Amino acid sequence: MEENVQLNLELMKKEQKANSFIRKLLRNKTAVIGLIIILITIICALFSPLLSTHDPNKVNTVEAFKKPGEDGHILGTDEYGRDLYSRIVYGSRISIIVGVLATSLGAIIGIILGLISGYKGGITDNIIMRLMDGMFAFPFILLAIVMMTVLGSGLQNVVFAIGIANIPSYARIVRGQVLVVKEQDYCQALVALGASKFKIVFNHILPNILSSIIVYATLNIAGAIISEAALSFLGLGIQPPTPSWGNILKSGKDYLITAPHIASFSGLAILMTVLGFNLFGDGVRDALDPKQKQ
Amino acid sequence: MFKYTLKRLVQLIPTLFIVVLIVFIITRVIPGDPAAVMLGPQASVEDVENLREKLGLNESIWSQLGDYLKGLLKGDLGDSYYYNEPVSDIIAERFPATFVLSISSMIISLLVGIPIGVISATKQYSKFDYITMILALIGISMPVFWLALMLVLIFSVNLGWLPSVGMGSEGFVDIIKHLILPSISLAVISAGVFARFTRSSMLDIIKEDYIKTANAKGLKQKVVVWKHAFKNALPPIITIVGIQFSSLLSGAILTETIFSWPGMGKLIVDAIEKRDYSLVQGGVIFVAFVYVIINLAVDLSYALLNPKVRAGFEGTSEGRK
Amino acid sequence: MMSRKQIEVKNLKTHFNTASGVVKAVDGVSFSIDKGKTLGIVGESGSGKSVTASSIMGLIPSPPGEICGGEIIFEGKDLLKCKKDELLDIRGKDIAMIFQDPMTALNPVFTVGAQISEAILAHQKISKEEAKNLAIKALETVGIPDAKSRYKSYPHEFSGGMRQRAVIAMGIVCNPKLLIADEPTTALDVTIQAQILELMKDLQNKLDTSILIITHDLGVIWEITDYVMVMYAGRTVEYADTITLYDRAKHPYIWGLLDSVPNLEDGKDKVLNTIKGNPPDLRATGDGCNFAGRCPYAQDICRKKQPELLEIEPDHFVACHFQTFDKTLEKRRGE
Repeated sequence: MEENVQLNLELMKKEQKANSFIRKLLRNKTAVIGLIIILITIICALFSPLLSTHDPNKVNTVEAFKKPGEDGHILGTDEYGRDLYSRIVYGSRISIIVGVLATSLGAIIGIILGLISGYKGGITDNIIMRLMDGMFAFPFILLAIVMMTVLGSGLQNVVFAIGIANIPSYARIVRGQVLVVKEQDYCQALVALGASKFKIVFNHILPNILSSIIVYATLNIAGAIISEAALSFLGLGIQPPTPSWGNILKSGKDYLITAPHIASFSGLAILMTVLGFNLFGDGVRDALDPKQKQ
Repeated sequence: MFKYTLKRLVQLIPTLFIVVLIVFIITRVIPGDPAAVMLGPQASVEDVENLREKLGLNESIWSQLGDYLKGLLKGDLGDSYYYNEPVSDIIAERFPATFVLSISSMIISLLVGIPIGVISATKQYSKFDYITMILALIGISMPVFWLALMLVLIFSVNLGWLPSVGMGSEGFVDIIKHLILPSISLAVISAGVFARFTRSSMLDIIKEDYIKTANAKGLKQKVVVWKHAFKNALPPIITIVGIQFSSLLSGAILTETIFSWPGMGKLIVDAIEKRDYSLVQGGVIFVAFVYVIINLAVDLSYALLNPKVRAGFEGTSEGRK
Repeated sequence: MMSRKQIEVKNLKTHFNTASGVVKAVDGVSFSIDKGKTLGIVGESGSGKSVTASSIMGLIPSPPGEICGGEIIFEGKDLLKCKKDELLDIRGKDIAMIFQDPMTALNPVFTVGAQISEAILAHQKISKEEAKNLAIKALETVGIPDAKSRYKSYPHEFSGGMRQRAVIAMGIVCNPKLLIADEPTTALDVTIQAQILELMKDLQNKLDTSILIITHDLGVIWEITDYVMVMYAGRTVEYADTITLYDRAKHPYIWGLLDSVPNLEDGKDKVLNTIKGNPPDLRATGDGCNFAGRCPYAQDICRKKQPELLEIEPDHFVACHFQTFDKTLEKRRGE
């Protein structure tokens, strides 16, 4: 009985919180800018065919290395005469897909591990955390590179590699939060009332740690986008001719002197999108912070 | 303090073991036969088999692991398949370059990032604050490999001020010249992280009562900020420095590729391509170990700074987030 | 003739500029404290009492705060017109301030002794050794046993009461002329509270220090103050010496406060008296009396015109439209 009353109160509080959260968020100008950038990127990804000026894969060696603005190529062409602008627009697909999927993969598995580890404690906790520590010992890229070499290149594997490499961070954050929440009075009260462990974890603990997870995930998407670009840049990620900002940058490196626009604009695209997610993530964090003055 | 250090060192061992395990398993799963790759496409099946025997590649994974661990304890990381030299020698040759690069980047980013963070916190909402924080945000949003290329474009190609390849061999000044662009590329991102984090850590501290007390005592602003506030803001900053080292190493791998900087990063990436198991293993494990030790040093300095932690810290690395 | 006044505050106004409006935290407050005497400022949260104290010390964070009016006369100078250096000199030496929670008021990474020495060295050009000795003496004065070895202890190694004593030691170590104590006993157990108040009275006698004590606790007021100023929503509503206030308070707000203190002799079924309503939004104070919304005796004039603070008998000031001229309200309180 008491549990139901408590749940109802929680629901009402949640609605209130959600509304004031959205208001706070929208008041933050930089967060709104970030959101707009993200939406632009998503629109590019969804409507690539509509927004491009040319076929991104159309090779035309006669037109190679055109400068930005020449012959109807807004940003110029690459070494195969393909329109750079169109390739960059299509590249947003890879970035968004990898960003969202890799983050989700790492988050879901990491959260589950963190919940189990934090709630159960004891040997389970020890083993899981040791494993996470072991993974943490690797510089991120190294872990991803080694995995990609094992798995081979391609979109699926990139998502998988980056996702797996992200697990330890989520596990650690979630576990830390679970430990804090576990000690709080209302949690102990629920245990005393006989609520099942599963219910406690999912209905009570999880909603409370959600805010830090959301903030981290938003910023994580930014990181995943850069990681994909890095892997493709090293030749391990998305293979050409599929356009990814990373592999475009790779060609850009090879032709840096003769055609600097290739490297410049593809990198700029990465910068803008990542900036958007960072701005938005910061805004989400500030809006969720109870200590913030309104 | 000594006991605490010892305790932490002991806790390292399972972590390091898992590192070796992970590396071992992953490298064994890499498709491709190193013996075949080494001998080239002309080699006969027999020769390849012989080489496999010689390298112990036909043993079970567990016995391979066992042998490797035994060797590890002696400091023997096996021989590189490709270079035919002890892995430890190769690493010893290449690691200093990565070390120099990482340390210089770290120093630059600390010297730039932390003071900016402190000043921004004391001048919250000022123009300085807004501008530096936006710059920091842009800094952390840049892919390091793109920044490196842009710097090369501007300073090497267009202005011709600085070299862009290799480490330089004509003495100290030459090395410094070659060091500038790569270390700045790495430093920008870390500086951004430090500036933002220092600022937020300081802002939390400035709100504390003991800062009000310090002001009420009539202490000069500089003293309040650096002696009272900063010292308390330091521990979480140090933790971030430790974590950032990992990003720095990641970044170094990418940067070395662009600048042909003769360090570990390039070594490992090349070794992966050549299926040089030994070198990959040795290299990755070495980097991981270095990182773990750096983090331990970070944790220990945390305990040094905070008397409460020193007084009776029972916790393991799990005690903190 | 030498003025007996240690400090005189005239019409102090401190506002905060926030995203949702200007908060008039202190809106025209005046008082003075004589040498060697204790003034208590009483009010609920948000009444502006702490902001008043911070304004005297010059510790208002700006932005978003600013002191936009009034004078604070101390030792012949207007503190609001002093330069930064002069204020730094006065702070901690001539005017000292101690805060509510001794656990958070002390820096956790330095020893207590070092923090006290620091206060000394900031104002006197003496050697570290001499400063250390003075600090140890200060610890002894406030009744901390084994002061010499406690000098090297960290804040977390002290008990709550000892910590507050140490904080007080830090405040008085330079023999300040005025000691401001912001809720010094609120974070302490009741028994320790009594000790700390005793200590403060003792120190006042020894050092002839004026004390400004800020509190919401009427018991503390009774214990230690010579005069009381009651604040509500940024304004003074009544000012009198302590005995007069308890005996002949005129403002309905103080009646509410005095009545809300539970009496041991009342039966256990007696409902606690409360003052109905909530404190006003300090961004939207109108022209009327700030208390009108909650005053059981409020009339039209209360909502339209702000009452002036008037002296109704020597050294007894009240800001209320009725208590100054209309005696009928007094009869009503008895009911």
